[in-house]
Amino acid sequence: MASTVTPSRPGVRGRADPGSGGIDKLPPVDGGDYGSGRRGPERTPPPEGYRIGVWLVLASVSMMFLALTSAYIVNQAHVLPLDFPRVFIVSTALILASSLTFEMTRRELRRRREAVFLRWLMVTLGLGFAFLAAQIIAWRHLVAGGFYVNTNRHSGYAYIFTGLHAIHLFGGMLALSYVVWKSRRGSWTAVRRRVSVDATAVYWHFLDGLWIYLLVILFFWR
Amino acid sequence: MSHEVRPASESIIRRYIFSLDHKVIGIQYFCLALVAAFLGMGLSLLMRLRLAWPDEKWPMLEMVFPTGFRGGLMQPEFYLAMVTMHGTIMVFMVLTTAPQGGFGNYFLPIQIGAADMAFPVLNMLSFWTTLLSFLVLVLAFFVEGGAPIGGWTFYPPLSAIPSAGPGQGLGADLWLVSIGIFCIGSLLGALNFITTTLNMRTRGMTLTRLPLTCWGWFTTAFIALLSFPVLLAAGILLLAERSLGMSFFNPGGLVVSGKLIPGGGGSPILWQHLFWFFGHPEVYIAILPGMGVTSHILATFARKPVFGYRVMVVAILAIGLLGFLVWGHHMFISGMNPTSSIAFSVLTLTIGVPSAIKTFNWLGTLWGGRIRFTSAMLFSIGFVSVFVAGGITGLVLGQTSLDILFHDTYFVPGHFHLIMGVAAIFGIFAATYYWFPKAAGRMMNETLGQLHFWLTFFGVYAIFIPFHILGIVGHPRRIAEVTGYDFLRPFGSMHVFITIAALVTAAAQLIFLVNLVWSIFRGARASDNPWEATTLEWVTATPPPHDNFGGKLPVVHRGPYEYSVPGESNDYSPQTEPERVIAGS
Repeated sequence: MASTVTPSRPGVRGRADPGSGGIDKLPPVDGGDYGSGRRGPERTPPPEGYRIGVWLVLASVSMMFLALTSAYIVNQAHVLPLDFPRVFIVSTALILASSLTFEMTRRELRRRREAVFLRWLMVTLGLGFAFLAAQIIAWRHLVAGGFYVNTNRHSGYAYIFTGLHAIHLFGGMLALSYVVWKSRRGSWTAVRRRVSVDATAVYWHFLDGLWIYLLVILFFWR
Repeated sequence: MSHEVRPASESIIRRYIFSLDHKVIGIQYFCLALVAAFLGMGLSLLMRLRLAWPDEKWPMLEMVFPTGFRGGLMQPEFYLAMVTMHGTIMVFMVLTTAPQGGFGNYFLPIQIGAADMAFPVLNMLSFWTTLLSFLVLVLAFFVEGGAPIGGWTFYPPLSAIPSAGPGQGLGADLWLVSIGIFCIGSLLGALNFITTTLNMRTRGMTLTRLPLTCWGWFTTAFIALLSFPVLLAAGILLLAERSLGMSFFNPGGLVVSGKLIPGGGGSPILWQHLFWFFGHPEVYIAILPGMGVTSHILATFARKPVFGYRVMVVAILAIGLLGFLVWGHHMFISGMNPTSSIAFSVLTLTIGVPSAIKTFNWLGTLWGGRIRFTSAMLFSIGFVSVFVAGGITGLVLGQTSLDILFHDTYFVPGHFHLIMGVAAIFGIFAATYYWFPKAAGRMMNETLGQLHFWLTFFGVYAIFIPFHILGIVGHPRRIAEVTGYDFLRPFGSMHVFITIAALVTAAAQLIFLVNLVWSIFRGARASDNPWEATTLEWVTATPPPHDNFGGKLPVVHRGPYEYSVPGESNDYSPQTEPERVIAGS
């Protein structure tokens, strides 16, 4: 005889199954929407899924940049000449600032200060945009200095590394915008929103660290 | 019986095309793999035509491929394009999609007791990304110059120089773009599988109660997550090299058609490292789901638990881990440091240990069982046979001193076809025969299934054992022109034999296709649990409702393979059946 548990809303204890004592002390299995606001079986997962997912994304992105790093080393690209665009100092400051403002965002969310949370989130997004703009300016400076994508292997890797980083950062901004949109709509529970913001923060800080790493291997490693 | 929780206004597009339902997505992947498999098989038959009858003219084929068959004769470059596309399509579009994206997508959520995957939207995107990648790949056949000719391994400098041959221009660019898109689709899928397995198991479904199929899919997803990014990196570098004139892989000093190719300072070996760091884990992606399915099916039809369940899990994980440490065995003749060769060789042979453990445990599962020889069971037992045959030659090739002789001979395709082209495919067949009743609600025809098995089983051995013989003789691989070699002259008849075996075996696959399609419409109606199996997919309705379990997720009380448990009235105990409480204890 198969045993099942009647679905219940999150937070509400399920009815105990006769003969399988103790079940009513456990949290409900399912039936609810895990706080996602979605109807139907295509429920999004329990919020921990976002946390697991983001660490998996970090593993994957790291592998790609590690592969490119090993290629960079084998190609001995760092010995070839390359200008250091000063704008990269500005973009570094911007991305570091954005990590800080992201932490402010998370703090305000934990303190349940809705409006302040959204404001810091917008600042973070703005800094992200500014970072991308600074990157584009930096690339224009490289071009002005005669360092095109195909000038030498060092410049090639510089564009590829910083370009891929920028693409991933843009992805992070899309994720953050999605969080804003979902928050505004009100279909997410507080827990799901907090986990989403935390997960995106992990991704964001990772990209911050990745940027510093890229700066070092591209311009400060001999 | 089950109440469908689905908005009434769901359009056909949402329900069947851009579906978020993992079951529909699984079927979509399976259909993609089916089309790709027949296409890939057709390409291999074209190759076989050239090898068996090198001087034959093929006017009908010239109508389809005018540049490939000038004057009716198959051009060598066409042959190489077939080699390349056959490998690419089979490895990526069949062996990486069907076992994981097809069966994994369909059955992982059900077997763990979930209503769907963790990220349904991402799931849908994965499929459509993979389909896009397939379409871009096939597009290479229709551009000027045709498909690339550098093998699925795409080694530079050949692949880095667009003027190096027909198909190496736009065709090669399309190949690279296709593979890049495929990487992304695969990564999204891997994300989903791992998160689902970790996060969405129903109550009672502890990791040690997971069916071995789920362990296979879970480990495969991890391998994919960590290996595909490396291929993506390599592809980006090669695409940049070709289109932007970079020299990551071009060593310089190359002359093509009398013209010096600009650039230099790059390393062709770099590509080999990057490609094979992905390429070796890739073959474990191809085989691990099949191993999980084999364990699962052997237990079901031997009416016995899997012998040594925990060891089987550890073996799967060990194979997954070790698979990342052995890529150098594809590069033994690249001029690598002999000390690295020793290291790679030892690690490669070490993978034989968990593989052998799994083999002996499969035999242990069968031993003393009351075996039911269904089509699925035949293919699973066949899997063990070809896995041993193919695996043993892996141990031969894993030894540097031997590989130096066998590299680039037919011995290598002999090895990997038995493992990938046969064993992994047998895994797909077994899974199809096993799960078709659940997905389609009808049974496949058993007689046709048995006929399919026996023809295929003997056919593949007839094709691939001679490959090993040709390899030992020193027959090079990837060459269209074999008649020019005196030492190969006696083996023309062997090529004819292989080709005839290939044609017969290919025809036998039509039996499978006919059975599949016919049974969807006219097969006998299947009950919920026609195989009397224990795992969660057999607890739910046939076919499963939209949310898999009709609103009530199951609670798991038992392990996955409780067959013939002493004291139970049935010879199988479903995972949802509560443990019997013995009075007085």
